[in-house]
Amino acid sequence: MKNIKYLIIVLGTMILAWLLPKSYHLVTDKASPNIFTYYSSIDKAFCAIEFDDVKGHLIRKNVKTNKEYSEAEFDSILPMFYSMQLFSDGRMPKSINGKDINPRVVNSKKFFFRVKPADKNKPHIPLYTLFESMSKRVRIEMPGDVFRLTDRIEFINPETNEINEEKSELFNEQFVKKGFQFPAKMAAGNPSTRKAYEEGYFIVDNKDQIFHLKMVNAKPFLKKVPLPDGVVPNYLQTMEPDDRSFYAFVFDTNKKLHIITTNAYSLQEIPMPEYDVDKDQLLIMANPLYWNLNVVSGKGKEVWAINADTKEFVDTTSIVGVEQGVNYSKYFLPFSVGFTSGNTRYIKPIFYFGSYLVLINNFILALAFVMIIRYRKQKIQILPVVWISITGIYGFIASIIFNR
Amino acid sequence: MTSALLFKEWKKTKWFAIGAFAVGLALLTYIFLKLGRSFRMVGLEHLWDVIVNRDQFLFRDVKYFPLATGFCLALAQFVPEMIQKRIKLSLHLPLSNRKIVFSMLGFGLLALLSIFVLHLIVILTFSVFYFPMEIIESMVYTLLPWYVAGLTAYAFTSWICLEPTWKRRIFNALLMFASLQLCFLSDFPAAYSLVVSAVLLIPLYVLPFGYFSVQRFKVGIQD
Repeated sequence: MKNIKYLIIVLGTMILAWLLPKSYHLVTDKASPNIFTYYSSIDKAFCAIEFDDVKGHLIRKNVKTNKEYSEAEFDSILPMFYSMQLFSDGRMPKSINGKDINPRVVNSKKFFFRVKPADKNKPHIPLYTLFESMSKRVRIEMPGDVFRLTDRIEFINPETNEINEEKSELFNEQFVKKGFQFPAKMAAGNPSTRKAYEEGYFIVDNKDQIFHLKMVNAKPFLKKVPLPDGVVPNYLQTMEPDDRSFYAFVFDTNKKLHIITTNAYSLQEIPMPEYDVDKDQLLIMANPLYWNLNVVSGKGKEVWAINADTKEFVDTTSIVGVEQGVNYSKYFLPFSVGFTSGNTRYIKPIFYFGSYLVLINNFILALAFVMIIRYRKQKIQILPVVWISITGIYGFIASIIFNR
Repeated sequence: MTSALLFKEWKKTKWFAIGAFAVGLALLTYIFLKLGRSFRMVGLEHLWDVIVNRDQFLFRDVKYFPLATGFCLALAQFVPEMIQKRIKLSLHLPLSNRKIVFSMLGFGLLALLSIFVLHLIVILTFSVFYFPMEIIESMVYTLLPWYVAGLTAYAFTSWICLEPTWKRRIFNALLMFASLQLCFLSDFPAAYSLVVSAVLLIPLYVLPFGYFSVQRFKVGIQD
């Protein structure tokens, strides 16, 4: 009987440790400013669009000189970002920094690449669609099967739910021949027919080697990517840039970013701000002259501009995250429990602990509980008192309600 | 004596249990017909693609069925006991109160579990013909928290019904609504795959609460 009462109190405590901090954050959380920032190939400085609280409207300015621009001026200052507008208005310069600028060059080198922690940390079904890379058709077509990677590669026909043994054996021979170590740790590809061309998958094997898998004229193409010493892949994302200059981004275990280039699969390191693929967001806005690397973390936003050709560092700017004010909750909430997070699609318990000063609060609540029990003329039990000393306000509320 | 008690529970709940199973089967038939139409219209390759690459879940219509079943079964079983405090009669049987209450709760939980297991068997039997193990595994991880919510709702609702005071019933109900949310935190397929074994324990944790309220009733706490 007593044990059941304690089970109820423990459940009540945990539910309060989940919902009370959640309610506190619902009331107090402020949005971090996500100010648009882009490196100007004209001003040679970062420019930004932000909301001016005093003027009450958006302002466009050079971050270094604080010079403000009108909307049309701003288009000219950021010709690579507003290229469509400038080409349409006939205002695009013929060359910038000695580089010829025309729609073909801009379109082939301009891309946006975004990675969020939840892209990596999410449940996925390990079945992959491998399109034909040399289909001789304009559009990419569905191949009629998917593959799985277990202790070998297997192709399954969705219409019959049966394994295509002939194709599986054909591909598996290549995996064995090239020294692929099953089981695979991950496979990165873009299983969409809405892309310009198909480059298949980059697969990390059990020995952290990266292999490039394609289907060319219905035959397997498997190539090992030579990795420099010390590069251990943590996460991969493929991309199909219009200029076909690289295949994929590789995030390594040393928190460095590389691209697998189309030049004999050589890896090129991309200088970037401190970045954790499990916690921070990355946005790369590339153009023929510069790559803008935006890293949004709990501290704010840090932006680096690097040379698009040499990948050398050019400039940096940062935006400090909004001051959340004093987090009073840590003084009266001893800990909190969460089950969801923006960094993962998995449901799992996450504990956050408050300040050690909360122990004073816990002690006062334990005393208050003893007094209430005496007032109710109940027998004092040691376990709820200890529980309140540990769990503070949550244990106190749960014990007051469910102690009888 | 125990078998007589279980027979009493069966008499109280049989039509509800049969009805719930039939409604569940009708719901599954509707889902299978809808899926069959999709197979014919767009083909299985497209459907696999939507499941694997666009994170779609085919059995989303099942979501609240277990919850509603668990809630209603507990009402069907325990509301008659609480009307005019008829549970007093049950508690005067020559058996320990613990055995009486846990027999009643165990009966309800097993009846519910049987309905849910049969439903899952029907779903899995259908699925093995059309989907590979990888998709079925993800499907099970997505469905399990919803079925666990049904069992948890049963355990909580029984507790609320057996509670002798209205004030405490309100607190119990608040705890139930908050706890049940734990099974519906995400619609993303297989989001619970890391914690599914812990989720399975929730109904077993909550089930004894009903006995606590019966003991409160026995010591004379009431409105």
